[in-house]
Amino acid sequence: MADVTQREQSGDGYGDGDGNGNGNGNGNGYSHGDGYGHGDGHGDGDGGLRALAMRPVLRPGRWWAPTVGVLALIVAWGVAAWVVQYHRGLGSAGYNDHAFWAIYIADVVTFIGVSYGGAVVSAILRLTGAEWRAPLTRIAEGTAVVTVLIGGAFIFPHLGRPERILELIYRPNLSSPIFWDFVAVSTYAFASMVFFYLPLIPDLADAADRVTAAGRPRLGRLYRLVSWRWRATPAQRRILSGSVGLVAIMIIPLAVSVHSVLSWAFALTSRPWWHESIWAPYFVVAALYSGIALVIVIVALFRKLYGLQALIGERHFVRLGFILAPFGAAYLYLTLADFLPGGYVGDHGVAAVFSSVLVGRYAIGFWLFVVGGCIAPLLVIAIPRLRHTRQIVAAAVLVDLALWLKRMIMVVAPANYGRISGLFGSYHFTWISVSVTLAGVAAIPLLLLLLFRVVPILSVAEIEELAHAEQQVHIPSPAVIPAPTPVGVNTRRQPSDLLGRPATFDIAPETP
Amino acid sequence: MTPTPRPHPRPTARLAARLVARLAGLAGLTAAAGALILAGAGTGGGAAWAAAATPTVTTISVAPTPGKAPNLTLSATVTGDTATPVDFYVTTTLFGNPQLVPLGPATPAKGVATLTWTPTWTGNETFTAAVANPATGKIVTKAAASYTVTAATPGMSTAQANTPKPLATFGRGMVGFLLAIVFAIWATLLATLWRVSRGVAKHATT
Amino acid sequence: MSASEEPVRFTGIRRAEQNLVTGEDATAGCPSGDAGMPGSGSGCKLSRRSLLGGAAAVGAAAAASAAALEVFGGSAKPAAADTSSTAGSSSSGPAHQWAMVLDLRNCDGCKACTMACQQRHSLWPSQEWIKVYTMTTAAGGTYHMARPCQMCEDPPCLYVCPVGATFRTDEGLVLVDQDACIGCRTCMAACPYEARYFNWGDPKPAAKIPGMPRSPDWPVPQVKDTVGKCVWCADRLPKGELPACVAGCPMGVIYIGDLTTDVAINGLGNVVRLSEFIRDNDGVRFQEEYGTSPRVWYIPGHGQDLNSDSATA
Ligand code: SF4
Ligand code: SF4
Repeated sequence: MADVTQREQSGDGYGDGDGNGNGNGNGNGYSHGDGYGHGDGHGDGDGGLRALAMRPVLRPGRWWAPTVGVLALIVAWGVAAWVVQYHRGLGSAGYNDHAFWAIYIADVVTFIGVSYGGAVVSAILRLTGAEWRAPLTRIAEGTAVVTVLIGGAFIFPHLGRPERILELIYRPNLSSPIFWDFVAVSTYAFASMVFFYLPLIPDLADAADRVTAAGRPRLGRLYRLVSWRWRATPAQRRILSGSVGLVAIMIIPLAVSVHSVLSWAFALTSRPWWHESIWAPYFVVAALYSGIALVIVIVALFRKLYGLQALIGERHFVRLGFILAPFGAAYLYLTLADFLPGGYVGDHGVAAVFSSVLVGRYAIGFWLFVVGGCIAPLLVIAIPRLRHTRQIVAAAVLVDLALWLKRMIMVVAPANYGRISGLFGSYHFTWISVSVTLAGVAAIPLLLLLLFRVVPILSVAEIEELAHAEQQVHIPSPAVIPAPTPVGVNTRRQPSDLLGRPATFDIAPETP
Repeated sequence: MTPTPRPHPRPTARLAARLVARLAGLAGLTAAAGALILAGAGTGGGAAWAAAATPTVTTISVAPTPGKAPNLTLSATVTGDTATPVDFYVTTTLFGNPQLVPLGPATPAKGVATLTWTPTWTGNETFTAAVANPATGKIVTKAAASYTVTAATPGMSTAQANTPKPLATFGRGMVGFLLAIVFAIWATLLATLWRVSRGVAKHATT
Repeated sequence: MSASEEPVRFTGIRRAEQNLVTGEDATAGCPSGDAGMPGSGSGCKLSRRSLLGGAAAVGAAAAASAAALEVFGGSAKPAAADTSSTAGSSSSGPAHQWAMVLDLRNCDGCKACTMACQQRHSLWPSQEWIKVYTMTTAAGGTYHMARPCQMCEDPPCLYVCPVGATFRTDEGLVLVDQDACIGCRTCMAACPYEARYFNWGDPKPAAKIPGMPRSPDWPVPQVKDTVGKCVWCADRLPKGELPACVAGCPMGVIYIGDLTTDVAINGLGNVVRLSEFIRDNDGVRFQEEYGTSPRVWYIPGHGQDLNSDSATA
């Protein structure tokens, strides 16, 4: 085992925690694939899959601790910056009366937004019975949980007086959109945790013995405790699949509500460009768009880190890209629909803000977003020659960066606009606000690495169940993993368990 | 940014208007304008007034306007010149020292000037009737009386100043509705967790 | 009955609990509960301190049971009980409904009001609670316009405040409890008049005045990382004193008045009947289109159009 991890480290240098780092390894991904689970000691029939799923828990590799250390340092630096900010006042983060909302609220929107991607990839694919989802769901759901927590945490630097936040609970004003943000985000966060936890039960029951045997008895006991004596009996399966389906259905409108209410924190004021009826769906689409992009990035990252290439292949990225593309197109369309009416009528406040965005001081950022965040990713997915893992992941990274930029502009431009004077103020980045934001970015891989240190990264039960439904497919054992033969795929369509119609996203597997 | 008190150039006309108004203790622009018009219009009006007998306000009396509660009728008896309007005031202490609130002018008829006023506050109030020299704005004669006002109506209702919000009831209903939904969602999630934990444990054996 | 003989202090700011969307008093909007205890029933803003826990908030409010909340103790007193009066009041309701009239015909843009305010409230120069804009008309003429807080009847800043730190007295003053404000700045986003100023760093130090602890009507010194705004010198009004800007305006532009007693006065001692003054001089309110129903009237007098002229700070 030791020499396997050695090889991985020297071969690819995964530990850099860079979401984009995936691109370089795609070609040789399978060549070291035969290393997984070697020396695992659990040579039973389908031990390969289980070993793969538990590897991050049991033997994440030598790169793990240094990577976590570096990420933790970045996060700690951000927290320290926040403490400094708290002592100096919000002005130290670049805020002023003409930029009263800026980077942190954009971060809140961005992080909570990307959370939706994880939830939707998992929930919608589950509801439509797309069986190729199986190896992705756990990572996607984990991403949803982690990012909604980070996004929620950005409320703290956003507030001038975070120590008073409990007032939201004991003296709330029910007419405030901010109160409803709080309600919606906490409800959604709870639901996404439930949605993460329920499908985990069979896997934890399954893995309890394994982790105990591997010398983590306390983890084994925890697994047993939270998996409620799961034996995969038919009655248990019925209960669980019903509950998972219910929560999957609930999480979709919940996420819609979160992003709508987030947009209403802006749209319920009378400021030009914030006061737009389109903003709620606009935010929802932006959340889906950036969220699916983040799922692509995270899946690519963890596929690389934990050698999941046998289960997650290019076809997964292509399909995720196919889901991503319509949202990109929809977002472009909504952007046009957002600007046209206000710009056409030309009410002086709206006209001033729009011209600052389209041709004025924010124009560079805005057109960067249009080209880099919408058009380029659409082209990558539209042109078959570009439609490969590396390019799709790069496009996804672009989407996330561009949408953060877009949200910055959406927040800052109207806030900068002086409604009586007609003059624009300005927001300046400071080391504090940048550090805190970067800490949030680093917290995503950090929390996911920690999360998959305690729970299996793959939804073993789901993969097996779907494979079982296919009857013929056998889970490749580690020693005989051929090159990219994806698991659980054939051309047969599986009827959706919930909607009773064929899976929508099922496409023919590409030939190796 | 200049230091606070500094001389301001004032247009003469404005200054004059203010002077007149201040000296007369008036600020109601109507009253001021009225005084100005009177002064200006007088075909030698000022001179005529000066030549005639000086007016004297001998008494002022306050009584409820019959059938028009809470209105009060203020009557001032004037002797001498009775062509010049009489200005009525009520004293307020709302902003510190007693100040005269102009209630309006009335021209005497048969030696009595009357004005109807709708009280805007209650209490024992001092009413004043005065005549000012239209040329100088100086009060030349006045009389005062106390009267206990027992009923009043607000001068400007705040509702009248409000933009109507017809959707308010809807908004209130919606908040309740939303809270109920949130409550239902939490209940469902918790119930799901409970159902899974109990159900799974219960059906551990087939 | 002069105020100087009979000083009346605010014993506590009267908080007319406001309802969403309308700004109606919760006591009027909520059928349940006694007059002093705004109910928590659906849609009514919860009374401050009336809820002790989040579970109680969600559960009790969802159950829409206002009566149950009385257990937690209401804080608001019946409005009439602590209504102070300086000029005698009509039998019911608050004695005063404060209002302002700004006679722009006389404003020469000297900013004496701004400075008087900043001095009284120990504000940094950028915190122009009353701010004088120089407006340019379409024809190129200029005039000056001071903008205090408009003390909106339907204050958007109040509706969006998540913790009720912004509240409205039953005399119509919108005030901020800086010891409760969480610094979310949503109110700054919502105010159409840009009347709110945040304390982005340490506030300007202020000498302590004995017997005058900081309160929403006397927000001095300001509190770091909370929002502040013009309060119309709410501590002075009950004492029959003029707000600093009114007293400080050498041109007598700013009138402070009372809708109820229909009296207004400026710093030069000119007393007018408020309704008549506004009516006869074609007083208008700024940016009526936002539906905020401001308590400030402007008398343009030179044909200015407040709502379309462009301004410079
Ligand atoms: S900044 Fe303070 S007063 Fe303004 S909305 Fe937030 S909590 Fe309320
Ligand atoms: S002017 Fe602004 S701060 Fe003042 S009450 Fe109206 S909305 Fe609130």
